[in-house]
Amino acid sequence: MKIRVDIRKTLRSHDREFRLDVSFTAEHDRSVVFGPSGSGKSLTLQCIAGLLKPDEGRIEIGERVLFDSAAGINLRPQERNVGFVFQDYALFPHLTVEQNVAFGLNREVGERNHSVGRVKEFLALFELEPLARSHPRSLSGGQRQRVALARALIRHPDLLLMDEPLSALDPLLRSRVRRELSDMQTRFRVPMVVITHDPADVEALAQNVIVFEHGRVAQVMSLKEGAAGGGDTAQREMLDRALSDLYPVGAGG
Amino acid sequence: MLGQAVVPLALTLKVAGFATLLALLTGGLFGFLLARHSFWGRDVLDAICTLPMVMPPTVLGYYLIVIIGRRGWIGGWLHEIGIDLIFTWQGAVLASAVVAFPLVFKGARAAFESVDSHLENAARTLGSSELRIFFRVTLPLAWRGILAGTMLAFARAMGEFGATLMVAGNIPGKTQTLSLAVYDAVQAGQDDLANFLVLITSIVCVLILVASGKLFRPAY
Repeated sequence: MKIRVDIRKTLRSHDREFRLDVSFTAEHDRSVVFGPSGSGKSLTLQCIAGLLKPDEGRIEIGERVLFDSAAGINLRPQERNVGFVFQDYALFPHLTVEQNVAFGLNREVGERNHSVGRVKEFLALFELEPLARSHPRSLSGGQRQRVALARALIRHPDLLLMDEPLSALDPLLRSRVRRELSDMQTRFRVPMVVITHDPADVEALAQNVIVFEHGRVAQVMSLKEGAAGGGDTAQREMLDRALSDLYPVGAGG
Repeated sequence: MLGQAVVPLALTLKVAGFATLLALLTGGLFGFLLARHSFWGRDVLDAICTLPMVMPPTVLGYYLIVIIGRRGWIGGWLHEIGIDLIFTWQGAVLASAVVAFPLVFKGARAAFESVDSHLENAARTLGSSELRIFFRVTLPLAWRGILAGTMLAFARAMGEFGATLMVAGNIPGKTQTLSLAVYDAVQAGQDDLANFLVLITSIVCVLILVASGKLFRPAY
């Protein structure tokens, strides 16, 4: 599904001003937003989710228009059907894992039996069954991440946004979780846009790479299926060049 | 002596209870409003809401007389429909509520502000209505802070003296609360009664402070 984003927003705090002027089209289902901190990546995701209102522009997923300032369209986050995995996961600390996962399900009468089954299925799928009655504070980073992912995916969102989903994990865990993310995307066929600082994420997760710089999109690269895995040499080189421009030495956080 | 203490004690609990309820509803509302919405004049409104904490209770009592007295702005209108608040226990409730209000307000504002807005945003992306977010996310995470402020407010309302005296007077059996009864007992030289009343007041207040101290500790 195509994701088109073309937005402008000016943020002011005290004497500082930040101008976001972002325009890109993600042709494939796996997009990675890459760039240094403070380049407007998170703000852009918040705009797509409806948590922040752009001053002007247009956002669409496939045929659905989420925001269009010219037409006066601005869907509320509740109406967008866009899943969001926050950097700190934003799990509800007073609810159990099970209640967190079930939070976004329909609570209408008659739906209840159906949702109980769905929650069970998702807990199993994300290997969270033994933790169903635990509270988030007792979970490890990787487990929290799976709860956040299950909670977002159980609603079958049209698009999944992830704000640095791997940055809170230790490096050993990262490659495993990266693989899990990739598998989940294949399984649910949900288009996703992932913010990252880590070139390894780009290689593992991206079909589109959207490079941010100073509130603007510096470059959009489209990698062929499997290319990031080491196939197409020309594309690999292009990607490596772009990444090394951003992180001359010792790329990373 | 016990008999002499029971009447003012019962009245005190009644007045403080209703005053706390009133302070909880209004203080909670204003605390939420100021924590979650920014608007022009917010700082001024915050200052006004905090004012009863620092102003002499007699000044507050005077304000209340000006507003709800028989010739007051609202009191005149209330008098016409047959409601008089001056020299009634309901007047004492109002006076105590005004004095206790900032404690609920401050506690509620801090409690609502301490709820991570990411959690509310996460609930929005999960399709929850604003009302459901308030009752399922915001309030469950803020209630301990609100309750702690409310208990302080109750303790404050129990000890209210100045504003209550101005608005409701000191009528035994009608508007004479514990603190007023202590004053009367000391004036009349009834030291035993004064000691007893002081002891009761102190015990109740210590219990409340211990309980609210426990609630102030974060749960998560």
